[in-house]
Amino acid sequence: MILTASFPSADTPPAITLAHYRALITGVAHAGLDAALFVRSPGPATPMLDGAPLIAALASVPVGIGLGASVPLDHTEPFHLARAFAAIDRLTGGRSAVIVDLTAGVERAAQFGHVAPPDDPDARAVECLETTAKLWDSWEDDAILVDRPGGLFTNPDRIHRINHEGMYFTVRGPLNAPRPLQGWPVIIVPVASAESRSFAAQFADVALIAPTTRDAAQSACAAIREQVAGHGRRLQAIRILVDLVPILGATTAEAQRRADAIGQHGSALQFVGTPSQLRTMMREWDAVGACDGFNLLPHDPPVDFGLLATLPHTPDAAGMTLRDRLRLPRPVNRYAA
Amino acid sequence: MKLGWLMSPAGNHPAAWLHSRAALHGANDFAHYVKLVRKAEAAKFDFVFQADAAGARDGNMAALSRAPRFMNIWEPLSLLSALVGVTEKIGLAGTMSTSYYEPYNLARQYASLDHLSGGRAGWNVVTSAHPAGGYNFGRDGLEDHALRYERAREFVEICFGLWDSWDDDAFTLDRESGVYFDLDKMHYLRHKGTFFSVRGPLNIARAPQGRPVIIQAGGSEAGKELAAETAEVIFTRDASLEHARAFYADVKGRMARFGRAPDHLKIMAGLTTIVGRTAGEAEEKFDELQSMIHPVVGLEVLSEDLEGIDLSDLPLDQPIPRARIPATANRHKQFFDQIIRLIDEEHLTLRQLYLRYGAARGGDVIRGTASQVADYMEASFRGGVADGFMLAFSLVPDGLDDFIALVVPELQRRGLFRTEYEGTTLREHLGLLRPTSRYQATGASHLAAD
Repeated sequence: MILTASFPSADTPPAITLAHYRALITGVAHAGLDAALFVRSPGPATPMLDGAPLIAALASVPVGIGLGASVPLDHTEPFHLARAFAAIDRLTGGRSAVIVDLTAGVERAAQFGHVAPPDDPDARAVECLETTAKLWDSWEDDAILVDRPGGLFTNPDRIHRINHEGMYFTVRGPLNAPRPLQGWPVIIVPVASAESRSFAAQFADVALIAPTTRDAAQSACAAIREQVAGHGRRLQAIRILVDLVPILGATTAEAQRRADAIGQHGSALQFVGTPSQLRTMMREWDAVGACDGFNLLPHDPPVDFGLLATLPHTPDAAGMTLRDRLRLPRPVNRYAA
Repeated sequence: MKLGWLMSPAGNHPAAWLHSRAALHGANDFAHYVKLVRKAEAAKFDFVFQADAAGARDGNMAALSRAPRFMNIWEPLSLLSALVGVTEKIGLAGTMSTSYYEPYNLARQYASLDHLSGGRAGWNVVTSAHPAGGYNFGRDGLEDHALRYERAREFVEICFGLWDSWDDDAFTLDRESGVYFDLDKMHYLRHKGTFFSVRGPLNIARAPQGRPVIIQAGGSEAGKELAAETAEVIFTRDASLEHARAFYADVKGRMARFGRAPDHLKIMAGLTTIVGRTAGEAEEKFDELQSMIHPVVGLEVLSEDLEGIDLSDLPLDQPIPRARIPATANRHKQFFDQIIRLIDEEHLTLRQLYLRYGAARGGDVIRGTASQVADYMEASFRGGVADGFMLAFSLVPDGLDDFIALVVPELQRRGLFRTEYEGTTLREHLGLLRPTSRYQATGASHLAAD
């Protein structure tokens, strides 16, 4: 079972320091989770750090978990996206994930007003990611030779122009950086609409869904998997995680007291109980194939992850890529012979 | 005296990676960078710097596969952010282009870096000067020099505005009253200009430094104007002391027109050094590297800064025929002018020219003992040429290690360089003011009038 954590809260002083986020992800790692996901969107008035520099800054924290950051595909250039994540994937030792942000809107467009808003933001997003992936492939895995006797740093036959000419982008390439360690970073797609479901079916390694019941989760998973198959992808190529707000306590009563104080925010599925009750619930969902895991959205990360850490779990291990950890295939390079 | 290091994993000499003392896999190894940058921090350098180019050079692959200097580059903001986590005090500066980014995205990313680093970010504003970049952003190569600068000016203006979106004390986070931020302390930019329209506000709190330290490097007329108006650091790289002194006086002289004091801009001269225990040892180290430059690499380095002209048919032991040289530069004017000066003043053969120019992209490689190098630096510093130096080392880690072990103590002995950081932010290291928000500045004068 895969477990990730997302932190939807705002980033404001005085907590907007590296020490704060370092403690946050250390807690995630100690709780036995697989990745910390920073969903940070430009545009809304909620103050937020940009996710990409944030996870880069966390690269040196001694944990083995994956690190994800959202990227707005309606206002990102493929070349920028490809190089930032080629760097971040290498800096993190292959633990990076791109969280696809498809929430284009009027609010965001106002910050980029000179650019004609894409008539079809979803088509732009598809082309943006496709172009980015071509750039990641533009260096084959063995492009760097560092052959001193031969005087060759790179093998010119292993570096390719992509010559992409599409509706929204014209990009020649090659990228000015080697292929990410994972081939491509893990691609995570939050599913909130028919468009994002279709996007996920086509590209996602990990889809995040937000059903409120187990039956709804089962049917949402089935719908995604059917579309995945329609794109000629293997069903094992995608992991589907359910958003879950855990409100934990050492006892059921304590958890309930916390839940009463917090109240219901938003529509996400909530779980109120002890850590072992949560684990039982997760196993039940897993047993009926309702999902491959959960994306936890804690109200109070230190409290909830501290409690989760009391459950027996495999200790956080370094030296593994996020793809390995999630047992996801490494993308085949389209340019490799 | 201010010191920055132009980071390079093997050294900035075109043959550096071939040298057995360079780390073979250092270019793509973050752990290698961590070691180097921690040394620079222990030596109290003001900042490290990551240069950039917006596209891979892939024209002459025969040359580039031997010296892939603009093919294999860490994306600067990601690298600098990662370095935040392994350092405490040293400034972290890098290049991002105004030609290919969006002001809103760039402002947000640099504000993030400044927050995460506790105020250590610096932004080198460039317009990008190579067609390879344009091809990756739907442009037909390189845009006109003047157009790029016009866009850069508007771009920087927008970023300055966005960085003031929130007053320093805007986020009250008052649980009792339930007030998250003070509405009067949030400001819309509502910029509508020639190139951009950006409403604002930026969705991040004002940065610890107010805004990152603004760095520029242009030597053109447009570049000097923009620098005098907005830059806080400029990189210069003039081999002639006379030119450098004139440039220093020229740029600092323009600042008054923009209401700025000369001290609020630090001019940092590019300086590539090789230090030896003896002068002879430094010469030997230099000659060894020079002997390793492959001719196709030497010609490529020249061709790059001569607007990409083909030199491959020319005999190496004669000068370049003047007729082959383009009349004007649209890429890097400074580099171009430097080559022209070498051709006109020193009458070098093609081989001599690429060795002379290629060793440090036009700059002299200052070689000698620690006291000779310190003499050179002191003369420039006291002689109205530079407020500090952007250091580059022909070979890394040796060059960095030698400079830190030999030259830094000599500079400290002469009272020219710090022995401890004065503060924690890059602005404090450089002796630059933290800018007051444009909105608070207005408020202050209003109060004063009362």
